[in-house]
Amino acid sequence: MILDNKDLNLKLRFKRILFQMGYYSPIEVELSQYDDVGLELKRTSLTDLDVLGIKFDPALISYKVVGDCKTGKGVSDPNRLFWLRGVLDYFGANTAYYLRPRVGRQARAIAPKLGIRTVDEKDLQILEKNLNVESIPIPIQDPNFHSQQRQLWGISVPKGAKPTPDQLGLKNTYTYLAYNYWYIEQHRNLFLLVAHFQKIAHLLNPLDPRDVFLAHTGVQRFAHCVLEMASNIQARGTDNIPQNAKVYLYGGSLALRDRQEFFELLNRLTGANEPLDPPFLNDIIEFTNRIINNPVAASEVLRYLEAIYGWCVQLGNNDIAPVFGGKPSLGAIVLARDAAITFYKATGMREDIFSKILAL
Amino acid sequence: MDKLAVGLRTQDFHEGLREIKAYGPKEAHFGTTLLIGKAATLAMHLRGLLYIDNYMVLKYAAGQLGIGVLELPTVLRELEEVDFVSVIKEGEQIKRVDIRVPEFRDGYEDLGSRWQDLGPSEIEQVSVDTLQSLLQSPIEEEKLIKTLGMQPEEYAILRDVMENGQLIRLQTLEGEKIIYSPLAVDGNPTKYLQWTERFPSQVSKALKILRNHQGLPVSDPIISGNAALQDAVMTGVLAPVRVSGSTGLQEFLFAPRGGLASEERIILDKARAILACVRYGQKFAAGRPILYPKRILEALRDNKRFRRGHPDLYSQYGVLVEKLIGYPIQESSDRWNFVINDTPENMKAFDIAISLLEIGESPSVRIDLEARNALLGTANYLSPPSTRARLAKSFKGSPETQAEIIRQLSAIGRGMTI
Repeated sequence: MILDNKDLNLKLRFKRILFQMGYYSPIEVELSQYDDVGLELKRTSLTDLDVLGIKFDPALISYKVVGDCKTGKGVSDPNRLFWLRGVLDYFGANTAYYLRPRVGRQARAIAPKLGIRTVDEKDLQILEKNLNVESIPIPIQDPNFHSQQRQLWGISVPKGAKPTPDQLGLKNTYTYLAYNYWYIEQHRNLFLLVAHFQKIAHLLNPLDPRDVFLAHTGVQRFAHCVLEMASNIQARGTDNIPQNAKVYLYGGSLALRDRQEFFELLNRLTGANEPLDPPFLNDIIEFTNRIINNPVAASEVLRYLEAIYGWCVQLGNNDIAPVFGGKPSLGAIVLARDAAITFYKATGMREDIFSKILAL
Repeated sequence: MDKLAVGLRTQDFHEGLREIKAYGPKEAHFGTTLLIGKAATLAMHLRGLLYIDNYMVLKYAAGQLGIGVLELPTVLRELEEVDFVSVIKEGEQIKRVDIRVPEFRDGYEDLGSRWQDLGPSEIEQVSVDTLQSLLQSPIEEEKLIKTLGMQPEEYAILRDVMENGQLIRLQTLEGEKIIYSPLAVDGNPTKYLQWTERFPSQVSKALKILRNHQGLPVSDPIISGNAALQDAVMTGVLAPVRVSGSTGLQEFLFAPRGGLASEERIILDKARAILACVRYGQKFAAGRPILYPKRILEALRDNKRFRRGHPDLYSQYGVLVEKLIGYPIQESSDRWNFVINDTPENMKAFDIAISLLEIGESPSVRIDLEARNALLGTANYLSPPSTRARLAKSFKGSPETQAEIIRQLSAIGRGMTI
């Protein structure tokens, strides 16, 4: 049970700091490896990451931060730092934070060489004060607030009962969001994410808080996928956004050509007229274009989507302004709505599952 | 009729009739077409914006575009239906309009489809269809009446509304009453009609060729093998754009487009000159030819210059200097670049050149720069210095239409309406 986790307070305090620094920050991200076992792929858990922070700057360049939060006594700081360096590299993160109530001298000496920042209780308090985290009205650091979200995550099967086929379908999506999403090559995630939600769209009930949470997690990941794509397009050049979007999504120019040829052959063989691009792709490319053309607002979208869930859905507020000091970015709100609309249309979900976003 | 054409024609109806006072036949029979036409015009001006949070600005811009303040909510509702906007309200008040007008596909198809869904009246359907066919070629009035098979009073309404909107015009040629669309004529209508008389069966095909290949070189085998097009060039029905580049002088042809105000005509001429220069680079370059003309146009519009200079740019883009679109600058001893003057008119000309290339038509020639500037927040909508008042014109109805109105009103008076 999450509430028993002694490190949780530290993770949530760090998450609040990251929020104030402009990051979208899932916590307790598990890294897994998938291996061929007979006819199936089997997931093996490798390690878990306490806090992951993702943000995009107004040039749509992405920044990642990983945080390791440990309170226990039997922890070797140098070992942990070397492990954290590995996680940092694995994730392609820009910075890693090592948070401990007290950080030993040895660890402080090694940390800069490994490109890691150490934060003890005193440093944490200074960070909290300097960043004025108390001004955030969402109780991000409150374990009960976090626990309410955790309790909505996953399917609910009574003890001794077997999950129904529908619940198994939902479970696949939960597994994908919790594990596979972080493991799979990023450019493949957009189509996979849409496919997962297309499969369960008919099961999601806008009145069920569990389903609403799942859908909001989905739209946050969707916005992340589109921002990653926009970042890639920006790097390639924006002179042909639709083409560059496809090059990204299909894994490069050669892979795109291979797939186009495959579909040509398929159509020739079967007499069908199946296009390579899924029908929802045009709308997603249009949304990506709006992201690229409004980069300042776009850089805030992930954080806004996270705030809208916490502040409006979970806490039942109707106005997002207090979370952003009374002066929210209208552009970010519009793009957050745009993300929700594009996502529910692509997946076939009911639009009222995002009623709180759409009401802004 | 395909949906793209329907969308484009509804906009022609709105643009043609926007300055005509409310009049029974127009309002009663053309409601759906005018509504979708207004939606198309507004959508074109909203494209590229993310949201509008000042409804007063939107009302101002819409007014400039011929959309009254009472009509605006209905027009916005239609745009919501095709998912081009989301209207966010606070109580009854419109708080914000979020914009999702597509940029990579043609929105006219969506609007054309919406027009069909709304169930336009029979007169509307026939009128839109007639305009589309008159854009291909003119027709004798007698023949048109026979083809349409309408009641005389219905035909009178169609003709009156379309004539008042300057969508059609009647001209007598060698004793025959010919109906043509001024939208299909660039210059002298008599020359155009004489041409259509000489090549009655080829005009439609010839114009289609030009629409499908805007900026087609006169030296192209398609033209040299087409007697109608050759004749049109010789007799001045079509006025080619001349570009003198490194491999000599070439001329480029465009599908005629009439019914424009003088300032719109100037911008269309600029757009044609721009596209002609790019076509030159595509077909007659001394070195590597242009492979993706649209990308070149977009890059020039967005970056106001070429990424890299080229020896041929100095002469090839010379025609654009005359039209004040830009000027050449020397980058090295043998390389020239071309700098675009960043004015709203020039940017609009680039947008038109792109739409000519993409859909063969130039709906964006109707973009109202004052409305656009208001939406972009670059104009003070309270006191725009260049605003010109437009005088609403009265509808000139034929005796047949007047009689039909009296008949309808009498039926209402007698309680005999079904």
